[in-house]
Amino acid sequence: MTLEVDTVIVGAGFAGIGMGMRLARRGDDSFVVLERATDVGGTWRDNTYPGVACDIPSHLYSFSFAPKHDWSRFFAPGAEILDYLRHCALEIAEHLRLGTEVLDARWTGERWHVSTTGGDFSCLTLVMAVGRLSEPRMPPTPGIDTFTGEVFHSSDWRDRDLAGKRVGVVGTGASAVQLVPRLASEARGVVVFQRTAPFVLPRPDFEYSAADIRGFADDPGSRESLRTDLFWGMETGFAARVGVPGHLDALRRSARDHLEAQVADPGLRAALTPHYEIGCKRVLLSDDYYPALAGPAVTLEPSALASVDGARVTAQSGATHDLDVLVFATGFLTTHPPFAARVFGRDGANLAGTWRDGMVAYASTTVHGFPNLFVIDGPNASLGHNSAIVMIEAQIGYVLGAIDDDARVLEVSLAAQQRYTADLDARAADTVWLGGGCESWYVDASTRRLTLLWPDLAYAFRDRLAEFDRDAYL
Amino acid sequence: MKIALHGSHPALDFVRPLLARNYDLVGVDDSPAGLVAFGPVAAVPDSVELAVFVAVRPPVRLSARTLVIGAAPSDDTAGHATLATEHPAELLSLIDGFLRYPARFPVGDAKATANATATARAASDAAREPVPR
Repeated sequence: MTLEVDTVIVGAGFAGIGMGMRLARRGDDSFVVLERATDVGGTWRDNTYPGVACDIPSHLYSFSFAPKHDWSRFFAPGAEILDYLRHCALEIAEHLRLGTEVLDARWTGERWHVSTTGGDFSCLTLVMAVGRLSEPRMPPTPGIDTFTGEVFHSSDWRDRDLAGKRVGVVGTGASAVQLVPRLASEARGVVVFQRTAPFVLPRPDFEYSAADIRGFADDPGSRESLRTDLFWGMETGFAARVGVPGHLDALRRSARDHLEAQVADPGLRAALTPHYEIGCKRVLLSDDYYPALAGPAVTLEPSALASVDGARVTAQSGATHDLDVLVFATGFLTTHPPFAARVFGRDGANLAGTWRDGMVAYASTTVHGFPNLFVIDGPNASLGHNSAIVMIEAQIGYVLGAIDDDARVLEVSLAAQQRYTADLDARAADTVWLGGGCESWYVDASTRRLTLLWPDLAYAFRDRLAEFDRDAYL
Repeated sequence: MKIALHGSHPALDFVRPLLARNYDLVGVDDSPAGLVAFGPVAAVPDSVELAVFVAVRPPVRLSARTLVIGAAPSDDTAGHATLATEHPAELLSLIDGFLRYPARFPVGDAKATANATATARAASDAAREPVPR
C-alpha cells in the first residue's frame, strides 16, 4: 500500500524539522518526515562524544521562527541543541516516521515514488534534508581489521567509557578539538594523529546568568537584537575569506597569538603551526585543545595514521604506538553524499551520476532532470563564517515559494543551472577555500570545485532565495 | 554593472573590496549606472539609474531610483533603510541589496530593525572573529 501525501521530507535534523514546522504552521498538513534513526536531531543526535558543542552562538544557531530564550551558554552544548530540536519536533510529531529509511526515490512523470523500510509513499514534492554531516568518513587504513581493540567513528560514541584506556584519535578537526581535552583527563593516554594542523582561535564561551535569561524572556526584543547583532558581526568574518586587506592578517595573528600563549614548547608549537592560509580549512574554537596537547596525557603524532597491526599502530612518520582504542574523528562524506545514489529523476537519471563531477544545483536547491526535488543544505549551501541555520531557513522559504507556484511540476532549466553554477565558480575563485593551499571537505576532490560552501556573504544567499524565481524553470 | 563610490566613511575599507567582487567600481565621470554616496553630492551623473545615499540627503530633482540609508525618512521620492547595528556588513547588505533588487525598497517605504542592546553588543563582540583595528 502506498501512502499519498503532498510532500515527503527526508531527514529529521534541523533542515527537515524546520521544513516540516513551516509547512505545518501554514496549514499544509499533507506531509511526512522520514527519518532512518529512531530519534530526531540529525548530527546532534549522532554526535555525543565528550565535549560536543556548537561553534556558532546559540541564539543564532536556532530557528528565527522558534526562538529559545533560555539557552544555558553562549555556545550551546550538543545535548541542549538536541533537546531544542526534540522540542521543535513536537509540533510535527504526527508527521514523523522514525526508523524509516529511504531505499529508493523515483520520479514517475507526475509524482515521486518513495520506497522505504516502512512502506511506500507517493508525493508531488520531495525535499531531501539529510544534512551534510550524516555519513561518517572512514579513511581506508591497511591492517585496520587486525586491530585488537575497539575502532569507531567520533559520531558513533554512544555511551562509551574510555577511562584507563590508551586511545588514538585520528584527525584534528572540529570533533577532535572538542573531545581530546576530555579524553586527556580520563584515558590512560591519548595519541593524536595529525595529518594537518588546524588553526585554532580562542573560544569566548560563557554561561548566561539567570538575569540574562530572565531578560530575554521578559523582553523578546532584546533576544532578537542579540541575534541580529550576532549575525552581522559574524558576516564581517567573510572579509578574511576573500583576502580583504587587514582582515586576513588580523585573523591569522589572533590564531598565532593563541598558539603562542598556550604552547610554550617550541617544538610542539612548530608541529602545531599550519602551513596553509587561515580559513582554508574550518577555523576551530578552543581554549583547552592546546593545553591538552601540551599536557602529559597527550602525545601529538605529527603525521597521519599509516597502518595497523594488532594493537600496534604505525604513523606515516614511522613512529609506532600501542593502543586499546582508535577513534576516527575524520569527518563526513560531504561532497558526494550517499543519498544521491538512491534518487532517480526524469528518464531514470540517477542523482549520484548527475553529480559525478561534483554537486550542482540551481539556487543551491533544485537540480535539472529532477522535477519537484529540493535539496536543503546540499550544493553550495553551507557557510564557513556564519550560521548554517540562516541558510536552511532561506532554502525552506524558497521551497515554500515553489510549492505555492501554480505550476504542478517544476524543473529548473539546464541553462539557468549552468548560469548559476558559473556565477558561483566565479565568486569562489578568489576565496581562501580554493586558493589557501589546503585540502578540505569543502572542495570536490576530483574537480577542485568549491561544491559545499556558498562563496559569498550569508545575506547574499538570503536575498538570492528570498523570492521563488519561476522564470528559471521549464 | 558600473558603480561609483563617492565620499568617505569608516566602513568603506570593508565595503569597497566586497562590492568590487560583484561590480565594476569606476569614477563618477565614467558613466556609472549606480552611485553610492557617503558624502554630499552636488550633481548626479545622467547615467546613474540607481543611487544610494548613506547618512546624507540626496540632491533635489533626482531622476534615478534612490535609497537613503540612515537619514530621516522624510523624502517620499526615495526608499529608506535604517541600520540595526554598526557592523559594516549590514551596511554592505543594504547597498548590495538595493543595487540587485531595487524593487524590494519601495519608494516612501522604510526598512528598519530595532537597535541592539548593550548586552547584545557585548555578547556578540565576544563571538566575532578578530578584525583590523
